[in-house]
Amino acid sequence: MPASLKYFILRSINAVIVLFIVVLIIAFLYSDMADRMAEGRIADEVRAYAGGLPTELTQEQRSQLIREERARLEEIHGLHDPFYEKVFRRTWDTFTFRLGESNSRTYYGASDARVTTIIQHYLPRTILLFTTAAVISILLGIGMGLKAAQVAGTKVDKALSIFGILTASLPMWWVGMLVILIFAFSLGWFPAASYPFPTETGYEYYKGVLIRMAMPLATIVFVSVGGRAWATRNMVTSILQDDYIMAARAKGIPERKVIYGHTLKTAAPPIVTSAILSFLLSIGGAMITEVIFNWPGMGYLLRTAIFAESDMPVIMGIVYITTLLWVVGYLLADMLYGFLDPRVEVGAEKKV
Amino acid sequence: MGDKTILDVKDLSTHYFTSKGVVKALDDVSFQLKGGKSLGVAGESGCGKSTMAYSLLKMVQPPGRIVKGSINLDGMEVTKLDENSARKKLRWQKVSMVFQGAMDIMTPVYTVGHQMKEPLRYLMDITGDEAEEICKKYLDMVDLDFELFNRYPHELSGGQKQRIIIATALLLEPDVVILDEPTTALDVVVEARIMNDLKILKKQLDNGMIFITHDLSILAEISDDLAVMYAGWIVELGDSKKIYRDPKHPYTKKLIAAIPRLHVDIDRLEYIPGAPPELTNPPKGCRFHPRCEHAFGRCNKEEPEEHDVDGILVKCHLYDERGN
Amino acid sequence: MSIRIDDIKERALSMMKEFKGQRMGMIGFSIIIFLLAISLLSPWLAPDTDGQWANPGRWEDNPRSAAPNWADYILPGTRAPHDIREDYDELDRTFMTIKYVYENEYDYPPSDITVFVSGTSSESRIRLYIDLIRPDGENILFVDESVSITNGTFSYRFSLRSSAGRDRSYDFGLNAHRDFFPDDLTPPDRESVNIQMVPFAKLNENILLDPESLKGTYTLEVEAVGIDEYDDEGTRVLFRGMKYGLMGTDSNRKNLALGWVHGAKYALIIGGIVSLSSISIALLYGMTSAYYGGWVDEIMQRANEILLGIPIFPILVITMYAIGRSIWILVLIYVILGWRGLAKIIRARGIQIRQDTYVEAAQSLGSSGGRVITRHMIPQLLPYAIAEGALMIPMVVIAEAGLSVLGLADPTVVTWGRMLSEANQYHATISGLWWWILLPGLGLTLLGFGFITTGMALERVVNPKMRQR
Ligand SMILES: Nc1ncnc2c1ncn2[C@@H]1O[C@H](COP(=O)(O)OP(=O)(O)OP(=O)(O)O)[C@@H](O)[C@H]1O
Ligand SMILES: [Mg+2]
Repeated sequence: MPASLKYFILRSINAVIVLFIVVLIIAFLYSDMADRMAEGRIADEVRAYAGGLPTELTQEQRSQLIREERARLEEIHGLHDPFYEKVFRRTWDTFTFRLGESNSRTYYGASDARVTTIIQHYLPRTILLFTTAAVISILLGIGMGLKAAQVAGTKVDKALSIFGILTASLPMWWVGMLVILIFAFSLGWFPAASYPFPTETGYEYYKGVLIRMAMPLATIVFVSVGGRAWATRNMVTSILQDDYIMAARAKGIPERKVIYGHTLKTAAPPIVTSAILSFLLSIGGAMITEVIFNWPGMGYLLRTAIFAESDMPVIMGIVYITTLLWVVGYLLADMLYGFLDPRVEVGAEKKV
Repeated sequence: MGDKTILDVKDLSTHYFTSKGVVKALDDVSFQLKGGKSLGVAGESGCGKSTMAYSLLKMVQPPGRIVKGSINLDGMEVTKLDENSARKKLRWQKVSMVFQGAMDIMTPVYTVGHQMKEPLRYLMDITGDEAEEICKKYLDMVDLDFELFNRYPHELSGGQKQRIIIATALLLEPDVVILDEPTTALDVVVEARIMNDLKILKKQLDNGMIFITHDLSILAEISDDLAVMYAGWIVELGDSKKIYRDPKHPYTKKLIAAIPRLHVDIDRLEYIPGAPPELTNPPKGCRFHPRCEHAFGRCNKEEPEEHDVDGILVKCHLYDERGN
Repeated sequence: MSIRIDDIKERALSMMKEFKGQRMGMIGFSIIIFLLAISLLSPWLAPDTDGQWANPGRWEDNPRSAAPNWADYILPGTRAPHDIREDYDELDRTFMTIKYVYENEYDYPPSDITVFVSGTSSESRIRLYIDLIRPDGENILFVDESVSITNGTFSYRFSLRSSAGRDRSYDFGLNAHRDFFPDDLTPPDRESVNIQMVPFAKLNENILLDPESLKGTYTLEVEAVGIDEYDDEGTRVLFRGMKYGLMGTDSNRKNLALGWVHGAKYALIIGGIVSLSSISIALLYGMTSAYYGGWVDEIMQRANEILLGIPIFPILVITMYAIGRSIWILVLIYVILGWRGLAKIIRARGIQIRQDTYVEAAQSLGSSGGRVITRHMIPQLLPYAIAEGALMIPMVVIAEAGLSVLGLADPTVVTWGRMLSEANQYHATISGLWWWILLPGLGLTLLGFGFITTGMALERVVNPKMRQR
């Protein structure tokens, strides 16, 4: 199908452009900061060098030598390269996952200082928590929304709408704080911090992970499911008002088929894509939720890098990986839409 | 089927209970349809034509409800059917319908074939090749290629879509096929072709048909009988050629005079002054009297009776004396 | 053919009437008005807060981690209020002793006693005693120290929470504990004891394990041997409360109510700037795109699609980290990127309106493009844009709060996010300081609820199709 092929290609190009823009911003800011850091380091080294010079030299010789040493170091650090060259180099490095080394001496518990290693150490836990939450919330939300649409206008439906609106206005991580306050502090049911991760193996390990995951998972699901259900409900009710649903009913199609066939299949593309998109949008919130629960994922790593270590390479790495995940997810949502909806065309409005 | 009456509607009233009041979209409507015959229904926008069609399918959309009267369809009392038996016994098998506004009548995510086969599958238990054979037969009838079968609705032109919908309506050979403004969404050329096809189809088939339109000129050619509706009432009912030639009700007269004719000067085209009434609060007496040139004393007080004038039923005070 | 001011006025009036019928919307709108009023009154309601938030001196007289005053109504037990004594109750000139009488009738006694003593003396050193005489006759000697005099004056500060104060308290408790458990070789250590309560605790077997408030009259006695005169200004005692103010205090004594007021102000400022700018840019962009159509529209939409693909969160993290931790950078990023979704909605709606005959009619009558846009499209699209733009405000404010928690709080302003970030930093959750978490978060929730319900109500007013839902 040429129309949908064109759609897919254009979307992919969009994704690459977005990634490029963000990486360029990263590189721009990084090069600037890296220069300043390098200047500091050079100043230190020059001072040490000056201290180690033989004392019998004249003042003139000394400053001559120091000047030469400074120039040598600046050359090594590439300080005099044109700015665009630095930015370009950094852009390319970032694209190819050469994200540099962490400033931290602990490596945040990873096996070496490379940013990629450190991120590899933390990323799986974020993915574990986040995708589990996403799957539960999307399935539950769509189910609830569908039921609500079928009883539209009743008390149950209204209660769900209010729940959806209320939770949609809550910051996820704040709810996490309340959850800790209630379930860890007051009731003592769960450990307040997910960190350190269990060290046992086998069954005990999984049990430990599950116990630690319970509260953050419940928080993410609680905050997102109402909005998901509400959005689903609205899409389904608006489709239920469409003429073709009436026509389907007139044709004597069983109500079950009208709902789960005609309605849901039509509603699926916007429901699924908007679910994915809103989950992507909540990446930030989820990372902060990790901080609140001390869940040792990307958010936790980010905060540690910002707060405790001021570790530019790691922060840049996290920003890049997050962007990459976002762009891929966004593209996936687009593709899924194109796959689910036979009508897609380039520039076609998504019916949301 | 001969001359047997297959559809007998008596004193049918359907109202919408909205927050702004009760919309009396259909009030005390009676008519009959004989097997294989066709009835045209005409009237301005909002006079209750579609509501009548939905009532026949027992599919009035909430907040609407049939409040009174009976619909006898070949011995079956439609108004008494519950939702489930309406689905299993009535819809599409006895009465099928081509909905108004054909552009959105097909579910966008199913292929044409899927949607055509649905009634066969769910109501007659016919699937697979057998179902396709039947569909093919009716696609032929509306002059469409079987190749369209695997397309999605958005890949069809408006005219193609409308033909498919008509074919689908004929699929189960129902007693009555309702066509609710089957051509409004189409341009004039396509409209003419579809009407032509319908005329031919009507000759081939022996279903009863109900044509709904606001365009009287079409009905004179295509329908045996004609019902003119105004504000929820049938104001004139009878043989369509007769009415067209010699309309009795002042409203019908106006309606016919308003039809543009090729040989008549455009300037002299008549129009009906005023607008149709709000159906939440229709005028007392005759509902047409505020716009009627012949209105007199009784018109704004008493609801007119139906009079048989030369075999045509007219609901108008003008014929009070003559009838008695 | 043009829309006159009267028409707009009429339209606005009828919309207002329609809006008033929306219950949720009215509740939300009242919340916004409330927050707005608080923000406008912030210089009077909460003076000296903004720039002083991180200055411990500003909050010195407050209790640490005190619950809000209304905690007594919703939670079991009564809490000691904050009690500052500028004047002593008794002065005994023969021994130069001053006394402060404290009536403890609370289940949760004062969290701390801070004593400031200053005075004049002609000696070079004086000896200072501070002790607490309890209702049960027990006497805890907290201070027995010689203080040197410089220039004839001295000033001395003692707190139960100082290490000396904690030592004395613990020793007192440990002694009592030993009376009940003479054989206990491992009594609870200092860190695990609720030490601030021990001086006010009943002498029973639970004094270290789970102290219970001993109610009655306490007397705090200060004796300065060798002093000539106490200085009335510099001599005062703080019986620091377990409850304080409308919103309590954090663990650094900051009055949360004052911070809250400024939090509301900054929330409205950053949200307001972002939503206003987004509405304007989106209107301009969306309408231009819709009005010209064709390839202009095509290019503008392609560009917007790319913008829509840019994730805002990583950009915020990186810029705020690299350029500066400032809410204005956050605002700038949102001004640059915030309008894109709105522009898409506006364009879709604009195209619909363009198809409405009268815009075409206006065009054919020779109105210029700009005129058509300002006279016909803006009046129709503006309400839409406002309804949608309202929804952006909570989004931005919550983003600011989240970034604060990540360690990117702007140190020059007080926001709800900064308060929450501090709550997280100082472990308010696992210390049970619920008010510190609940109240700033409630601000975010109120703001979110207010703008979302208002926006939705507006949406319903301007978009009748949605009313059926
Ligand atoms: N779902 C509904 N709720 C409330 N009122 C309705 C509803 N559907 C139709 N009506 C009202 O009932 C009256 C008749 O409507 P109906 O659709 O039957 O008119 P129509 O003759 O088919 O008009 P048109 O030629 O425009 O299709 C109108 O006044 C309409 O406003
Ligand atoms: Mg109709």
